[in-house]
Amino acid sequence: MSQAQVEVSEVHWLMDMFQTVDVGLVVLNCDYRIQVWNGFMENHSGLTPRQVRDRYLFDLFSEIDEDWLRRKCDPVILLKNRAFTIWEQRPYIFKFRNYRPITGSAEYMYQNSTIFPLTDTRGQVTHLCFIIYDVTDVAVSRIELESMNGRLKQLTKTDFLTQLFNRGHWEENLIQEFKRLQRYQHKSTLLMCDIDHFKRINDTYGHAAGDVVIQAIADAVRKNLRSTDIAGRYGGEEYAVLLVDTTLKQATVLAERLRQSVEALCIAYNGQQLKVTLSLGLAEYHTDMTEHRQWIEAADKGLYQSKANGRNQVTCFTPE
Amino acid sequence: MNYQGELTVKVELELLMDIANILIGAVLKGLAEQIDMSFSQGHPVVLGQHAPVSELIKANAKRWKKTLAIELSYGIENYNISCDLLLLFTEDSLKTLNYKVAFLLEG
Repeated sequence: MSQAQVEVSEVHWLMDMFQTVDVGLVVLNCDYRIQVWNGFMENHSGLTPRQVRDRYLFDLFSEIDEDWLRRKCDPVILLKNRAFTIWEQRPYIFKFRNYRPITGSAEYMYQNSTIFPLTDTRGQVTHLCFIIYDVTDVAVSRIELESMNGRLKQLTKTDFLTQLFNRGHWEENLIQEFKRLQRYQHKSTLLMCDIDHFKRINDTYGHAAGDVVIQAIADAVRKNLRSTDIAGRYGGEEYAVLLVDTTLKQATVLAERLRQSVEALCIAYNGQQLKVTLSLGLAEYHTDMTEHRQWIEAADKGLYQSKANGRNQVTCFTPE
Repeated sequence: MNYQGELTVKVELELLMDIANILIGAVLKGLAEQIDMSFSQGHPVVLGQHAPVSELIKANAKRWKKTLAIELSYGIENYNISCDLLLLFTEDSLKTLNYKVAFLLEG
C-alpha cells in the first residue's frame, strides 16, 4: 500500500469515528456560519450537513439567544479560551426534542457544551468548535431528587391531620422570633388554645369524630389568621399561634373572634352536629423572659386560667 | 461582558462563572503552554457561594493524602475584581509535573 492510500484509509476511519461518536460536534467559522455538523447533530436536528452548510447559525436556530452565545464566544476568539455552558444555567443550546418518549420524562434534551477555538497554521483563530453533550439523564434525576427533597422537607414541617405546622417546626419558628424580639423593639404575642372537654367527644362519638373536630378547629384557626401569623398543632387538641408584631390588646381581639367563631361552629359528623368550645390563653413577650419556653409557659398559664374559670373564654397572662 | 438584560440571581451566577472562566482560562492556557501539555477540561461547577474555601473543599478532604497546592492571587487594574486561584495537584500528577519542571529548568 502506498503512503497516500494509508492516509486515505486513516481519514476514512477518523471520519467514521467523527460521525458515530455520541456527542454533538459543530464547527463554525468566525461569522457563525456552520462548516461541520456530525452524525449526532444530524440525527437530533433532522438537518443534514448539506442542509446546514454555510448557513448562519442564528437564522437556522432561532431559539438560540444570539447576544448570550456571542458573549460566550467572544473570549474564545479573542483570548483563545475555552467556554462552557451547563444545563443548570441554560438547559440547552440547540433545542432538541427528547428522543425517548417512553423512557425519558424530559421534554427536551438537556445539554452541556464546551466551546473552543480552532487555529490555522499561523495560530490565528479561524473557527469555533462546539461539543454538545447530552446530559438529560443526569439532569432529570437531579431535578427529580430535588423536588422529592422539597416534598420531604414539606412533610417534615407539617402536621398530617391538620396541615398546620407540626410542633417541631412551629417551635423553631418561635425560637427565631424570640431571638428577633431580644434584639429589636417590637411586640409579639403568643396564643395557646385547647378544645374544651375533648375527651368527651372521643368517648361519646369515637376517635374518628375526634379527628374531624381537630381538623375543623384547625380550619377555624386558619380562617382567623393573618398572613404573618404562624400556627401549629402543639399537642393532641392544643394549638399554638405566634402573632408576630401584635400587641396583647390586638391579640385579644383576634382571640375573641376565634373563640366566637368556634362557638358558632356546627361540625357535621355522621349526620350529627357536634358543638365544641375553645379556651384560650395569651401572653405578650416580655424582656424578663430569657428563654422561649418561659413564653410558652406564660401563655399556657393564661390557658389554664381560662379552663379554671369555666372554659370558652380568653385570658391574658400578666406577670405580677 | 456587555450584558444588557435584567440581573437575576441566575444570570448573575452565570456572569460570575464566565468571568471566572476567563480569568482561570488565561492562567491554565499559560501554564499548559509552558509545560507543553494540553489539559482536558471538564465542565465548571459552582461548589458554593459566600462560604469560606475550607467549607467548600471539606467534603472530599478525607480522600487526599498529599496535595500540591498553588495559590495565585491577582486582580485587574482599575476594576473591582480580585481573584484567588487555587491550583490543586493530585499526588499522581506530581511525577509528570516534576519531570516537566526539571525540563524547563534545564532548558
